[in-house]
Amino acid sequence: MTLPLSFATIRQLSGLIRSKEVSPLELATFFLSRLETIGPRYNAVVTLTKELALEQATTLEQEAKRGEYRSILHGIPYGAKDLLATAGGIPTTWGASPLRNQMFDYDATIVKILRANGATLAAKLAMVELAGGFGYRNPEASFTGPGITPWGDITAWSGGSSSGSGSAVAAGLVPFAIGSETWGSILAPANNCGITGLRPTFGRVSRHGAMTLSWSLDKIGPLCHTADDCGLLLEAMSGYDPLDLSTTKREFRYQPYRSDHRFKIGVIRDISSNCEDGVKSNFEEALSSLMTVADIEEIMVPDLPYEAATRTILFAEMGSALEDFINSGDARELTAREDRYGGFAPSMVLAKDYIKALRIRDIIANEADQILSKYDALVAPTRPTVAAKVEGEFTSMIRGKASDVMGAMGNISGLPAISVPNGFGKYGLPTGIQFMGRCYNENAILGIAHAYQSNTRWHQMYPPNGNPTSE
Amino acid sequence: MSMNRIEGMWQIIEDKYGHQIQKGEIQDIKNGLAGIVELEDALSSFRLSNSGNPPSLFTPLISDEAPE
Repeated sequence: MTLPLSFATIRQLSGLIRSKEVSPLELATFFLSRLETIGPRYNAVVTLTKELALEQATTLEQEAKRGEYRSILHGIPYGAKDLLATAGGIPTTWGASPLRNQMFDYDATIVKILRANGATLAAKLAMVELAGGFGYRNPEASFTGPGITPWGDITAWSGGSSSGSGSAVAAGLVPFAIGSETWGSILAPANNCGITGLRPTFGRVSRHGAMTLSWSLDKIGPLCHTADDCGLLLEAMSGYDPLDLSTTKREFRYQPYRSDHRFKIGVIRDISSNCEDGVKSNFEEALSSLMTVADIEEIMVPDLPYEAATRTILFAEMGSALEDFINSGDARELTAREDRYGGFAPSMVLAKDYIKALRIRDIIANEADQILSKYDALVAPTRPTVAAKVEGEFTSMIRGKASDVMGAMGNISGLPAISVPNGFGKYGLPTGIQFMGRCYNENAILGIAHAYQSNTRWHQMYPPNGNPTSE
Repeated sequence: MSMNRIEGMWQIIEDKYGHQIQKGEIQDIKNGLAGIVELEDALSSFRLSNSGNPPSLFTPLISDEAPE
């Protein structure tokens, strides 16, 4: 076998399973070993679900021997962000020290769906405590330690709050991982770890069994090696769930990219003006590369309070979602000093301001839809900087005053977005480019991202010793 | 920046959660409250008509058994 298993895509691994070059049990054993031995280097793993993975893989192996395959995910190991409930005595910690022994007697819907599709749960992956809702300022904010990206000449942050999901995929510890995003928590780890992350349209994927930070902003999505894998996964993950009434009854069918299709992309004027040099030059180079598959036009967006409205909704809903936790005093046991009292100020958002933000949301969503009706996607750098050093503070979109029009507009409107790696910047750390599309049109952004990855090799570079080299 | 608004919110927090807060954390909490005041001001300065399109704040739940 010549293919390096560690960094093989879902599509490649599925092919190997069907051609009997590798078995589900071999794959589970292989990735469990990597999670166990390499995972601690990046603080990526909370709980290794070894017994469960081997039990599931044994069943899947017997099915494969009979020529029965549940889906393209049959026998593929994965990791789940530790805010997804798991039964069977597997803790679900939400990254928070006071909840390190929290148990549920049911599986999150997404865990059930992936099991039914034949994916094997190999690990619960690390995350920022309480998904970062209390305004953490540095990567230390998790009882499992700071998430570390496998890239770079310095020890740098994997991004958050899906920190373990990002570093585990980037280091080849699992072929894919499940993360969640309220505002940036899938795209930022994808950026910092040099992998591909998809934030689906709000309501595409059930959140039943997931920790709530904000009922109207939280989304669950995949982190993978390629856009193609994200498309395959979204088809498996999405669907109506009576246990989550926000889920849509619209079916998602992944339509792989056709090379004869030409896209139309909008880029907001001056969108990269606040980015550091390496991010800006990689973005410009990526735009040049995209011109082979797309027409790119500069656009203006209306002057609306994107960030203020999104932050207000997030704070108000978080204040309600975590009210019991705040009242209990358990926050005193959180890891980051600022998280021990960070829940108080956001709880002071007035009801009239929350309602005003919801009214503004309608306006923003309408404007975004109008703009995106003319384009397949809007494009921007995923983050204005490379990953922060683990020991330093970083700029938070949720906490701070930083401008993030794409992130705020996309999350408040429930728009899908995908981040793919587009080069390396300062300290040999990865940079990313994001494509944001119209609601329910993930196929357009997946297609552009796939087209970009067909013309570049950034997604095929792996971090053996922290240096950007191709395996 | 309205110090009165910050102090007012701080009083509410102190009343309710004072026992959870250490002295060295008070200024940081007040900085967070300054952020809440900024959010409020940013939203207030954005004017909306109250007779335009009603926002989609609530959708009635329709059970399967409900008559047409």
